[in-house]
Amino acid sequence: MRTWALTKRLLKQIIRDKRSVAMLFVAPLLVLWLLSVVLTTSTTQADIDVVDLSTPFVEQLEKTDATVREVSLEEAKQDLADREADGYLQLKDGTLHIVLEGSDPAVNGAVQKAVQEASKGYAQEQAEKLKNRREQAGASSGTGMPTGVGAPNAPQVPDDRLLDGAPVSQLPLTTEVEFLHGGTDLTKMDYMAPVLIGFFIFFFVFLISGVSFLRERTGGTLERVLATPIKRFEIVLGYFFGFGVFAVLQTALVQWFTLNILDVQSVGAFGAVLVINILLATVALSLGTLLSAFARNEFQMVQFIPLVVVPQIFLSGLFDLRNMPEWLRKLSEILPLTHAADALRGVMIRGESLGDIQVSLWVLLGYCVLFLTLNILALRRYRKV
Amino acid sequence: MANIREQEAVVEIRHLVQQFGKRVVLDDISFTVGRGEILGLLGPSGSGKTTLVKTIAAVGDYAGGEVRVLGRKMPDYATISKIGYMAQADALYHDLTGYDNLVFFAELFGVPRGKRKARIAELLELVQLSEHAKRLVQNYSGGMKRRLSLAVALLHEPQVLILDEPTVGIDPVLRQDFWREFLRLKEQGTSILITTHVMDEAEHCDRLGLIRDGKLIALGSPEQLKQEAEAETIEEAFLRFGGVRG
Repeated sequence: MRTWALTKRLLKQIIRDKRSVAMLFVAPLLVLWLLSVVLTTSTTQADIDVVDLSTPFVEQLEKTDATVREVSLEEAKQDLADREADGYLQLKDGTLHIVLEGSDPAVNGAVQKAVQEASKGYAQEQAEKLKNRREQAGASSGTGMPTGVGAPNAPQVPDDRLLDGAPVSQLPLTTEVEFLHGGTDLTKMDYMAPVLIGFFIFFFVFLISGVSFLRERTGGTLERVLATPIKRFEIVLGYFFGFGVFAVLQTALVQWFTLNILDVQSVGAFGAVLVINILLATVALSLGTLLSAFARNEFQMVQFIPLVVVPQIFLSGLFDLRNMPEWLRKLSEILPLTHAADALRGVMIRGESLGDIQVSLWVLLGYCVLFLTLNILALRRYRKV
Repeated sequence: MANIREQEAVVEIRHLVQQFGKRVVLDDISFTVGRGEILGLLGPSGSGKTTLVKTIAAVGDYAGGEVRVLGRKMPDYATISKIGYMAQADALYHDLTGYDNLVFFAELFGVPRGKRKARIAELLELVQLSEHAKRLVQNYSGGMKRRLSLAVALLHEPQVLILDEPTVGIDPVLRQDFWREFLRLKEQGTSILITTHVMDEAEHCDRLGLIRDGKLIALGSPEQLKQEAEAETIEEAFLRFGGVRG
């Protein structure tokens, strides 16, 4: 009842504050649109598994940027599913097959680039060998055979095979690419969008709810409200629901805009994405109101952004963390935005269901409950009962 | 003085000590406020008046001693709804109308839905804000905000009224109206604890407590205090008690 009084009051206040409404609803759309325009690809190193390929080719592959592992087909498939590897190479019916994990276009590109480089290097090496052999043969017989020296489609030399059944004559290799997830039309924006949606929802809800709760403290109204028979948890919940309404609306709008207007690819259900985003918004909401207890004014609240919000975006999977120091990766694993980003990517790119990503959902829910509880305790500073 | 019955003490403060860090803000303060009594707390700014009334209104903790309101040791959740508190700073929502502010606090105090509208209209009339009720508080003058704050404190017809400098920034005519209302509430049995540093208001109080540097240096009716200090005015008496020669 008193919670509802507070919720109603907040709704009235927010609706009256046109600029904050604009900030909640227009700003994220604008920024997302800009990002979708300017996003460019960056270079990435690939992890490639090879299944039963000949040593000379693997050696060529190892000369590229890629990290190469020789494994069995089962291991390769498992690695791909576990996202330990970005793709594996296998010889099938005489052609070289590349199977890609497929979620990140930059990584897809990196794998293909590495394979192309290796193929080229291998072809040159083979051609070189062939030429040397011919020259040796020609010198001994005395008849120089006119052949396309150095050309990859030189006559077949039985011992010089790329792999079992793949004759050198087929060089440069024709490759066929298969995607476990995503596809060739997956852009950098498609890969980043799930994280960005999560980030903007987190950022704007965090800031607005935090500043609003702070204003309640600094304006003396929090103390005034605590001099009425409202319970501390009713205050926290009132804020939670008041901003929760806007967080849900904002989330739905941002998500609709990203998927339908920016045409970001999503194979998962709209509802599942919404559930993740709303859960993330509640974490931002509870964290914002909690942290406002440690700020004396709006400026100090804004100081939390580089401390709390910005590191999360860097560590949430927007950038590739696989070469980062161990402690940084560990840190990233405990951040709420990382869990939201993982869940969002799982649903939007790999089409996972809520059941598949439930660990992340529980973690987010846990954070939300933790922050709300701490906030109720923090209010003891003003009133003990 | 005659109408004060100690056994009916509504507010009882015994040996109250308050500290912020190492700084002692309230030092061994004891007094009571009876039913239907107006007790004025007089003292320069920074003397600890606001800290004292906050403690009684349950929004402040204390380091030692005991504060009882209506027989319950404070802070006590059930007692909060029987206290009307008007803070020194206007704790109002500036982005809402005066009316919306009153509705919000009426809901928090649990004023029954049926009575709410009538009660709000009555209070708006009392503080002469009826015609400004639909305006945003940010467009109110300082005096209008004080009046709205008082209306908020009176919404739930509290038995104990704690007013922290209620008449700051209010014109003399309205100040008279305020005091007429305080005296009317007193007649109905409301106990009022009021802080001020305006000396002429002090004459209206049944008893006065003089506070200086966190200590209660004198307590009694205005006449008593003047007699004890052999002073013509309360102001003079206050200075004498404070150890300053008038």
